[in-house]
Amino acid sequence: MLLSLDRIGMHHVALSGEVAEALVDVSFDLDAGQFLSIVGPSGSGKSTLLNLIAGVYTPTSGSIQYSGGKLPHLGYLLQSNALFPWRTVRRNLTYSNDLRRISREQSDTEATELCRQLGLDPQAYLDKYPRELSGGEQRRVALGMAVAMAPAILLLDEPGSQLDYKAKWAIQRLVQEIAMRHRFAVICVTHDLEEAVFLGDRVIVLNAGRVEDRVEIDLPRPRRNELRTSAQFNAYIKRLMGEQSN
Amino acid sequence: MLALEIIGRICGLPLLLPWPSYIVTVSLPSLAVFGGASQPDLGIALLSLGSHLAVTIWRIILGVILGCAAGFLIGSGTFLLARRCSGETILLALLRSLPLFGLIPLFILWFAGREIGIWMYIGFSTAIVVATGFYQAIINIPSNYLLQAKLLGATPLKQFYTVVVPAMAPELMGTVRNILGLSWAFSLGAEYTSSGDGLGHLVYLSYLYADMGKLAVLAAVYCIFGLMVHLVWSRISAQLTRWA
Repeated sequence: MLLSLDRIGMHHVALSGEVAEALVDVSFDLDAGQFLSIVGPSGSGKSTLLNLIAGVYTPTSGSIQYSGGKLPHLGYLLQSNALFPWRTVRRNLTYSNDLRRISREQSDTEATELCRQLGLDPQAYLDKYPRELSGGEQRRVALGMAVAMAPAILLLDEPGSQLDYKAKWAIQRLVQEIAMRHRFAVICVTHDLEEAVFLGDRVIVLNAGRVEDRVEIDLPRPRRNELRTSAQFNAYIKRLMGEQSN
Repeated sequence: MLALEIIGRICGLPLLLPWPSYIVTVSLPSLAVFGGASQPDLGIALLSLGSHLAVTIWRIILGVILGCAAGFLIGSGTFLLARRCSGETILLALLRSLPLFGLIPLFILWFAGREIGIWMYIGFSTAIVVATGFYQAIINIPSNYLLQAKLLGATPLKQFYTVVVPAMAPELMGTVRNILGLSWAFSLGAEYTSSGDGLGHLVYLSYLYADMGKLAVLAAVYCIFGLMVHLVWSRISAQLTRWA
C-alpha cells in the first residue's frame, strides 16, 4: 500500500469567522501502478485533497499513511503550469537536478530523453522559453517537470484544463504511457468525466468535500482514443453523470 | 525645430525665446564664462560643460548605488513586516507620499550645503523609489512558482535565489529604468542651490543670468545623456529579461 487516507477532514476559517468544511471523512488507498481519478464539481475539495497528499496542507482530522512511513517522492502537475518563465525548457526539466547539484552533462542527457518521451523534438524545444510554447506544449513540459525525479506518486490537477480536445487527449495518452512505463501510481483530479474514466482504474466522486461514490473502471490498457466511443466507456460516463446530478 | 527657428527669429527676443541656430552659435559658446573665460569660446565652453557633467555623473553613480542598497533593505524590511503584521500599509503610504523635491531645503540644512548632502539626497530619493518598487516586485511573484519550487525539493534559501530573484527581475528592471531617469532630476534638485559645481549649479547660474539660451543647452545635455542611459539600460534589461 503506497498511500492510505483514513477519514481525512479539512476545514478552514473564512474571513467572516465561519468554519467551512473543505473535506469530510475522505478515505481511500492507493497501490503502486494504480490510476485513481477523483472527479467532482468546482469547489468539491479536489485540489485541497491533492495538496493534503502532497504535504502542502495538514489535515484537521484523520490521517495519511505513506509506505515507509514518510512522504514519498511526489510529482505534481499543478493546474496552472507553473513553468519558470526565466528558464528554458531544458532548465525547467532539470530544475530538480540543479537543486541536487547533479552534473550538467547528466542533466542534459536526461532532459533530452525526457523531451522525447514528452513527444517534443529536443533540438527544436529544449532551448525555447515557455512563452514561445503553445498551451499544450507547456503542459507537456510541466508534466516532464513532475516526472523528472521518477516519483512514486504522480499527482495531476486538471491535466487537460484550458486545452483543446486534441491537446487534452494527447496529454492523457502521454500520462498513461509515462506512468505505465515507469510504474508510477497516479492520482488525477478533474471535473472532466471523460478524462476521469479514460485515465482511471478507479473513480472517486467527490461532492462538497464528501465521497459520494466509488466506481471501478474495468477497461483494457493501454487505452486508446477509439475507446471513447465504446458502449462500455459511455456507460461509465452515464453512471458518473447520474451521480454528479444527484 | 524649424517652427522654433522661424518663430524665434520673428520674435527676435533671444534671451526669452532663443531659436535653435542661436542656441548652437551663441548660447553654447557663451557657456565658456562658467569656465572662467571672458569671451565666448566653444572649446572652453565644451570643456567646462564636460567637467561639470562629469561631477554630476559621479554624484549620480554614488547616490544611486547608496540608494539602491538602502532601498533593498527598506523594501525587504517592509516585506518581512508585512508577513508579521499589517503595518506595511502605513509604512508604504508614508514612503510613497514623501515629497522628495520638497525635502531639498531639509538636506541643505542638515548638511550645510556640503558634498555629502548631495550624495545623501540622491541616495535617499533613490532609496524611496527602489524600496517601493522592490516591495511591489516581491509581492507580485505568483505563489505557484514558490509552490512548484517547494514541491520539487527547494529549500527556502534555494527558493529565494532560484525563484524569487529571477521572478522579480522584470519589475526591478522597470524600477531601475525609473531611477536612471529620476536620478538626473534628483541631482539637479540637489545641486541647484547647494553646490558650487555640477550641471544643476550651471542651471542655477543660467537662471540668475535669465538666459534661456544657456538653459536650453543645459536641458539638451540632460536630455541627451538621459536618453543615452535609457537606451543602454533598455538593451541590458532586454537581454537580462529576454524570457519575459
